[in-house]
Amino acid sequence: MSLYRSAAIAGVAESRLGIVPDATVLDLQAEAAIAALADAGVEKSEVDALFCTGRWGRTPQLEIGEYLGIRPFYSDGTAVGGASFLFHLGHAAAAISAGLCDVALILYGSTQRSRKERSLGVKQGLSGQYEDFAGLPNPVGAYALAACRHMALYGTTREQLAEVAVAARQWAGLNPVAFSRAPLTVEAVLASPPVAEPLGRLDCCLVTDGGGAVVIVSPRRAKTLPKRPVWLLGHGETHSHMLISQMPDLTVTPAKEAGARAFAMAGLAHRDIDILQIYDSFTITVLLTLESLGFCAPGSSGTYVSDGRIAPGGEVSLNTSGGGLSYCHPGMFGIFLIIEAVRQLRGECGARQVGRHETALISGTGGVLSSNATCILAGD
Amino acid sequence: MTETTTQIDRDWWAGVEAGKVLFQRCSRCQAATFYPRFACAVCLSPAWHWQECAGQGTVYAFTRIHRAPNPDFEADIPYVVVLADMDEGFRLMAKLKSGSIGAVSVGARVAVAFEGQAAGRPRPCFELL
Repeated sequence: MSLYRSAAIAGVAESRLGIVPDATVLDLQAEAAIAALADAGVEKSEVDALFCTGRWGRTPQLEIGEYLGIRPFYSDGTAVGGASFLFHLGHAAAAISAGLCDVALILYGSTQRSRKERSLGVKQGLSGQYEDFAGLPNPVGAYALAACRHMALYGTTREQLAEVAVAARQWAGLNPVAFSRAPLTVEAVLASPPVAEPLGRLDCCLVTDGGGAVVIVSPRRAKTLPKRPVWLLGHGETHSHMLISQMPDLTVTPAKEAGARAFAMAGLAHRDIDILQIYDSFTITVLLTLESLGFCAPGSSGTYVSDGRIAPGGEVSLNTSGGGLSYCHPGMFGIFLIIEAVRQLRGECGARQVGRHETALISGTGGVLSSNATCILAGD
Repeated sequence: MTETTTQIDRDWWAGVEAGKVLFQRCSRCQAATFYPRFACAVCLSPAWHWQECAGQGTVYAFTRIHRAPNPDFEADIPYVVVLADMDEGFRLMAKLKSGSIGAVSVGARVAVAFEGQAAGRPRPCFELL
């Protein structure tokens, strides 16, 4: 069964982002939900499916469902790291397609910045005892190992990694709600304090607060929306491991299989994609994902992102919000990939609006290159 | 140890106490599995036996760490974490032993060693060959 045009994104929104000390994780999700439902022109009473995950609760759907007074008849808390919300998007479309629901709400929120919840040493439990003795800070150390391998195999340089951070910052400069907007140079990225070599502080995503919400509707409900719907054309998802020491090839991510499935479902080729939103937990994540998705050959992603090709005005419209590196990163970024893609497809992005904006590919990576869901979207 | 430790885990850690790195060999498909688990990670056969790793491998990737995941490692900063392909066909991640001489690189040969912790059991680590 295909999910091609089986569901449409009707509304998207963020909550306040950055440093939001006087809000709980529930408040931020309520704020985003109110704004996304308004954007969709959908009443809360119409919501019959709920999707969310987060590190903030044992039973997040129960908690947020109660808080918002939503009684879902389809509920999914798939938790595969920061990519989860792209999994949710596919699952919402599948549920709508099966006739199990009409209006799905995807939610995320985090107050990790204000509450200082970020840790490099999260207990991995169970199998984690066979890695803990190595002293690897997670997740940054795992991505550093992948960067090391890519550099050794292909001659990729720290300068090429830095290009990703510099381009993200240029895009963020065009996004009024981005957290880090001051101009950045390759030299400054290289000079940032090392965290896990070859990755330095500015190769790593932000630590912010924030929330997001996405409203998905059936084709029937999509007929009467105030804004033009954004259609799901293709979706693919997979995961391959939890521990980095169990990943078969550190230079090939699960985006390879997820992306191939998404392209096949959409019936599109790479040249048909106008906009890319690629999870940038770390600079290396973008390089590996571009290769795994097939936008460039294995080993050539360093060249692909260099010379301003992914910066504003470049040939490739990539991470136009400023990404997790400069716009926001409240622990998980997947939902913000969806939000920015929808706004670009609708032509709502103001100074950062890209010229060609009929199709978008979003690719979310979770864990330590563990999971990926890739979705292809198109305007009406 | 955590409440999740089983007899399989205890046997593996007993190996470490005796200066050995154990891995599982599937009695049905002959696959080498590490970390140890209830059944073979390839064919799911619960019939397997322990084998002792000869202790040598090749560096697959490495990273020099400047931010420790927990206080146990803070005194060692900066230190190198190595992901190595062991000769028996499984991958092992461990720290390069404190004070290791020589430059680590992808493709370099390493050998398993052990280093003590102030509190707790010895931990497996690597030495450059």
